[in-house]
Amino acid sequence: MKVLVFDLIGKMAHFRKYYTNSSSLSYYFPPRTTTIGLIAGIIGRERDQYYEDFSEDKTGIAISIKTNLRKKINTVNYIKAENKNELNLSRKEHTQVPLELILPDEYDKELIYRIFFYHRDQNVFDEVVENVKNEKVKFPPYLGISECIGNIKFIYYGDVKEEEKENPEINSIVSVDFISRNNCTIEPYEGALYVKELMPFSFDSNRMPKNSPREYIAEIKKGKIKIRGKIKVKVIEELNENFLFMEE
Amino acid sequence: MLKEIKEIGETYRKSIGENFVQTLVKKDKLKKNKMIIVVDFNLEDKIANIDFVELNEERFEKYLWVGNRGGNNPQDRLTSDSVSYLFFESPKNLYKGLKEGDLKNKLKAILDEFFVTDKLGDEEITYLDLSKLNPFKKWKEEIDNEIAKIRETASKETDKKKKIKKFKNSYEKLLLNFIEKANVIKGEDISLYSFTIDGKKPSEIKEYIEYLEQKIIEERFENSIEGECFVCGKRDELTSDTAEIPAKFYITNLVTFSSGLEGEPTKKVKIKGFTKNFSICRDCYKDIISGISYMNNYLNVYLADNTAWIIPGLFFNPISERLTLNWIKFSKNFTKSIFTLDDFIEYKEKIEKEMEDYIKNENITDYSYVDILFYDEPPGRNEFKIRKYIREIPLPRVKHLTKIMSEVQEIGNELLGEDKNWFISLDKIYRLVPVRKGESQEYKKILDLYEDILLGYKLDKEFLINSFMTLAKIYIYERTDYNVKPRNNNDFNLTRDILATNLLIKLLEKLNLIEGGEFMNSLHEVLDKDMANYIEKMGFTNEETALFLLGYLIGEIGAEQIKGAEDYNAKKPILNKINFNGMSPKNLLNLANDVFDKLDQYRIRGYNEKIYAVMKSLLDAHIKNWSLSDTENVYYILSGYSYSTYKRITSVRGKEEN
Repeated sequence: MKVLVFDLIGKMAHFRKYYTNSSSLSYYFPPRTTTIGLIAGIIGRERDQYYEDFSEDKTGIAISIKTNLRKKINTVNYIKAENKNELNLSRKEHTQVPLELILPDEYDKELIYRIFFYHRDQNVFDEVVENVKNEKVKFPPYLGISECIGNIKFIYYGDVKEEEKENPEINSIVSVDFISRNNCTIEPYEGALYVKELMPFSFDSNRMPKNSPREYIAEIKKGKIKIRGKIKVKVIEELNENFLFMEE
Repeated sequence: MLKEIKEIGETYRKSIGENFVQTLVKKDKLKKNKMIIVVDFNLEDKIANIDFVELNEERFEKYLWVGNRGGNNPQDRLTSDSVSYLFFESPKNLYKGLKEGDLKNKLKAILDEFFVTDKLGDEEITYLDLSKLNPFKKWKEEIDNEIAKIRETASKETDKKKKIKKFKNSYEKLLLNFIEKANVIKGEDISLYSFTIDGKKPSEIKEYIEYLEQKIIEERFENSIEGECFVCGKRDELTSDTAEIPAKFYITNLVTFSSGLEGEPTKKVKIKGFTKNFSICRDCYKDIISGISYMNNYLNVYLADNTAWIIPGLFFNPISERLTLNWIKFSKNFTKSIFTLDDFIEYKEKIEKEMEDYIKNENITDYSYVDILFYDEPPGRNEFKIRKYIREIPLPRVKHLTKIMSEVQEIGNELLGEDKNWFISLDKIYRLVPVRKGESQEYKKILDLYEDILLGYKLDKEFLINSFMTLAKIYIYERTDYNVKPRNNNDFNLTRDILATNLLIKLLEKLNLIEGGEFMNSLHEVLDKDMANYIEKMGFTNEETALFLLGYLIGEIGAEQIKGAEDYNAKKPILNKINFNGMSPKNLLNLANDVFDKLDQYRIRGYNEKIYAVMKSLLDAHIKNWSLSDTENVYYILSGYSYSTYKRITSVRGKEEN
């Protein structure tokens, strides 16, 4: 099995949580739905037209956090419009919305998410690999919202092995469901900071949630999760990366 | 956040037998000596009695205080905090909204027997006839006259709204006058008003409870769709009408927040277009409302002039514990123990009293966390804005913080004498890192600082020192635009607070959030034991030590300058030598020379010769490669000054007391 690895890089990110809009809270890392949207954008798929093509049975997505993360809230002015006619600012009012931004712990550094991608349809996979390798994108990548513009950097395309490991250290985020199913636990690191995010997993063709929401655990200071137990993990020796797909 | 709120709501609902409406009871007006005014309508005898009942937690439940209806919806509650709702339109609206049945019939009888419909010019207004209440009956003539006057004055208003408002306001005043006359209860003592029917309180009227559930839940599902719930994932009937969720963190009135801008309300479907954004099932809807109600009642806290919820949760855990109300309360109290010294003491006392429970709870402490959500919900405005959301604070971290706070307090007590001021709680930090009042962005810096401490992020020491210098300037220049207020004996408060900032730095060093310095053992040989201990325990670097000693000497000179003065706050000219906006290394050398002259002038050089020598040698050794900023220089001088002055004041006070 082959996998494509690339980094999504930017100064800051905002992956809005769906259940609050009067304040915009953010996930610490992009949900699977956001990530497939980014990949679909790389190959120029139109909005809301790619959900079936990137469904969980065809796609594998894993995300690894490569920067120590923290959040800051800043209030931003949004257009206040109760109906479409007011979108031209005729109301002459703004609505102030606190916006939570994800930033690297050291502000002068860049925010990096490493994305592992696999697609069963070789044509789609090749198209994504080709565009990422050449760092050519059809729609510009951003980290959640278009104000958080970003770029992608090709890291690896090649084989990935599946190995059974005892107490492995995982570089990616891990699904809570996976941990429960495999009867394992998390062994905390000294100084680690774990977060648990309940996020959308996929959409049906009407953009309604499908098999959602799902919960994922991430460690936001070291980006690694030590699992206590015996599990099968994906391994890329060249990168020294162990990961789990979000679909697992 | 949402999952935790749902879990809390689910737990709460289960704990009170799935009685959804009871979970909505608000306990927000529970203050000492507050009353509820109850009007009971006895339909058989056609008598209405007014009664005065002291409020307690149980009575909120009995009288079913669930808040007034939100937004522009017609008021229909039997218990309200507003005379203008309950004594006017609520019974009528409730009557209209009810299905045929016993309660509807009784309300009809109440409206016919005890309410009157009056004319205010062209406007009709229905209200409870006060002259029919026992014991007001005896003042019937007086009441009728007063109502006639009120009617006449209000009728003169041309604006319809103003007319009604005027009548209602005067009616309320009249009611309060007669309440006072009957029972010596003043308006400010009244929290709530309630109607009971034939002695039955609202919580005992089944049809009323069903009606409330119908209004709050079932009417939201009138335009439901089928799909996967956005919260629990279950396939079920869903609604995106979130109007009844009490905290407005999700709103549907702006088209810009809807997917594909489809959220424009129409006459038919008010919430069209938000289904793709957030749709939830009936159970989750109830759980979220119940969860918020519980949080408002029991998990609401106040810290650094901000309101917040403490939201407990369990992380993925191998012992498969579920949230219980006991655990939720325990987590909250545990977290609050780092807020203030009083909270800490209260918690400590509870541990001792409830040791068994504590040990039982400790088993899941390792897998537990709390979120602290700071929010702003201005009264009267349908708004809920999140100011800061500090997530997943592990309870072991809270435990570690209480331990370090206690250790630092012990250091303070040992070095400076016992004082509750040395407990550097989160609230105390707010008093040491001043926030300018009236600037909405200012609260962010203290909330960010809390996040750093609670989640273990490295801190910017320069930011802290700048804040401490702001604190000093508040006292020195008697500034009043900050949360910290200069008080009568400024010099004592300044020195005490500056020493507390030394302890705050110590606390942060112990938490590995800032770097500490290395102590020179040789100082023990030349300095007074207490002072050497202080410098060692505070972890001052050589440069910081030099400035601390320089500040100490300034304190000594200052004491000489006010010798014989009536109070400690007399002006000390030596302080004019310090530029509180910052001092360069060159200024430090000049200051050191000035200090030498003043020591001579006041004939105290002999006592301080050794200190001066150590200070000067450290200063000279490092001055060429001076690493501290101009602001830091002043801060460490001020620390030494505070040490000298505080010790002197407390020692004199001690002698006076003895």
